[in-house]
Amino acid sequence: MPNIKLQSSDGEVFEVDVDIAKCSVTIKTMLEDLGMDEDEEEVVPLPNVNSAILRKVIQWATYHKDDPPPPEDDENKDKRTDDISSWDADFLKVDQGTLYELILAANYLDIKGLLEVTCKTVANMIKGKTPEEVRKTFNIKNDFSPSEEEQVRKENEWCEEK
Amino acid sequence: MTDYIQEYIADSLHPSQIIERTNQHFSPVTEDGVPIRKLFISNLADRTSFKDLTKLFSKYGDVETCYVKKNSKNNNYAFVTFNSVDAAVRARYEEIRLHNRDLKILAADSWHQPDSIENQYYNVVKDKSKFNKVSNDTCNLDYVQDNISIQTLNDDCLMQIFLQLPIVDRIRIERVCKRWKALSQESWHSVKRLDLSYSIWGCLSGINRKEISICTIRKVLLRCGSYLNEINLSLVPCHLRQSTVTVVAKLCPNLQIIDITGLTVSTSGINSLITNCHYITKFSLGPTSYVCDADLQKLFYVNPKLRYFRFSGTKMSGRCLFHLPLETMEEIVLESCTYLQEHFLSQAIPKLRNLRALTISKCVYITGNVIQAIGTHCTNLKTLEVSSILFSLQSDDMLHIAQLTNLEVLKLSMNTVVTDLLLSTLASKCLCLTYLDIAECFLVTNAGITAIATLPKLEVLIMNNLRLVTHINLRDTSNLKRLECRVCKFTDRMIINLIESAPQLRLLDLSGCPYITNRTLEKAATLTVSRTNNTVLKIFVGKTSVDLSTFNKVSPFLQVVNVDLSSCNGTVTFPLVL
Repeated sequence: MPNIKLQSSDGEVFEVDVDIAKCSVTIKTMLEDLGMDEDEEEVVPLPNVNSAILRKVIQWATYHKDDPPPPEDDENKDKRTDDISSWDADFLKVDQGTLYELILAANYLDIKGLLEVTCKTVANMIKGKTPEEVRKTFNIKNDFSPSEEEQVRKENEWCEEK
Repeated sequence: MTDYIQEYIADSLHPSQIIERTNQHFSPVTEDGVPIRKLFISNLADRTSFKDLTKLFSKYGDVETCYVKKNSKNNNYAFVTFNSVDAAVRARYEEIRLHNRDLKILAADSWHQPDSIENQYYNVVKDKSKFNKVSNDTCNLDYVQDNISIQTLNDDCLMQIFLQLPIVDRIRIERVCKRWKALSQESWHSVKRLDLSYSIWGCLSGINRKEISICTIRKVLLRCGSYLNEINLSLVPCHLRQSTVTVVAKLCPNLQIIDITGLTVSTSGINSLITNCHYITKFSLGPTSYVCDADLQKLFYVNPKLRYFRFSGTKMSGRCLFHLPLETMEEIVLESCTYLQEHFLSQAIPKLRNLRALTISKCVYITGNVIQAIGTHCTNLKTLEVSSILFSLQSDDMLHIAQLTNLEVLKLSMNTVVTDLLLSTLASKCLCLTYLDIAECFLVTNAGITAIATLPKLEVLIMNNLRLVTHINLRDTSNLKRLECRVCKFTDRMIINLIESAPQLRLLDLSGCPYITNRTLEKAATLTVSRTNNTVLKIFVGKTSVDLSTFNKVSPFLQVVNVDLSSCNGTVTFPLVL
């Protein structure tokens, strides 16, 4: 199997199997557009991903390399947030900061499966909470004036916990 | 005439309103808690003016406003708003007659009520017009701490997270902060499909799941309606009113796939579809409160891209079928259409040249003319279902089906006119058949099954409840993937032979077969162990002579299910194989 080299924002170089790297649509298009797979000495720079996160992304991609490709039209799929595999759940037992960096990396590298499972993990942290609890969990400042908040609350009263 | 009146009443009064009237209790608030001051008055005489109404309703309290809408078709209506809830309740208790008409008085929809939050909200918004606008740079950057916060995620990522939330949570978090409100609302742009399932909506209000009402549906549709391609209202709470369709049509003009089989549709529902929805490709219509051919005709004209239409319990005579885009229709389903007149159907069928699939089920008045027309003209049909047709067909009529040599799927369950002759004719002509359902066709005997057995491509055979069949001897079953023979008199030996010669078999339903014992299972275990195609065989053995406590052979490719499906009226469909 041919390998390619990926360079993180802080300069660390990772050697990865091409097929694993190609689960990132961003890298895949880069290789195809530039014909980079011809020249094995080339290093692919990933300026938006630091080494700690890139290591985790590669770990995830290696574990999932034999997954079937995601279906094209997932509109018809039931939205479920409780179908995270136990390996993924373990893999994502990280602090909030790392989780967000993984989301940003998955979004930048365009790895659908990783983006989905990380977003589901955060969604599970939001689900069932009151707005006040959400603010506490994520350390968010309430920038509504009391009357504005009351307005939103009244409008959406039907979906508030009673 | 009585029919007409009954329909009119059914159309104008929802069951819950009928109950309301007989109990003589009118709630002062709408189902989502808005005080009712505004009333909807219909069945007005043409000459009734707003002055007449204001004068009349002033008897019950001070009338704030009165608005009369004049229509061409002599169905004028009006809105009368009182300045107190009590007055509105008093007026609703009365039976009021004006200009020789019994006025029909209902509470206006909650979102039209002057005290609804929306009406208050819009009045506020007029003053400070850009309430909603939040630019990205104001997003709490002053609040970011040492470690990375969720607020540092870009809009794209945050919306991805919101899209994973059930509807209830996605709306509730609008209260968290301005940025979340704006992004949560924007995330609805990517929602393309909506139904009322629990997994999409999530838990409503506390422990008791408050049922989804038209008001909540409307609030969600206000957010995502114009982006939706597909809506499925086949499973809905029974209290949903007919006006649901009107709301859906108004708020979702870009729908392509519509399933409203769970709702009873009134004339105003279909008319608002005609006005608003012009991109429909797939439509499933449920019961209607009136015979709706004339309105459906208009609906077909404004939807030239229509490819699929399902009538399920719809009141229609069939006259509207002529106005379907006949040349391009691919699939038509007619279920429980008791008003269907077969001469309309048999005249429309010759024009449906490109039809790929046709279902006629539980429609009472289907005769041989229809079957003949199908056999003669629909030569491109790949899928045909003619099921649960009682008494009106003759067995010779069915022979026309054998002219359809391209058929791949044929479902003839619950027909008293399916004979051995038909089956042997099919077996010699329709050589593409892969799927055959002859469940509960009581005239079929061993000879018929033997004929079917020669079909070269057969993968699925459904032959539940065939009382006269005692033998199954399929000559070449190498393609067979699924066999259902509930309540049949087959012996272990026949089934074992079958399993032996059918390496692809995945599902075998023997529920209620009294002569099946552990021998079948033991042999099945031995036979499947050596399967090399990774195919698991699932066998249903409920209500047979199998004793699972003494069955201990294990095969990785055998799954035994002790469930009896024989009492399910054949309606269970397996989410499996084909």
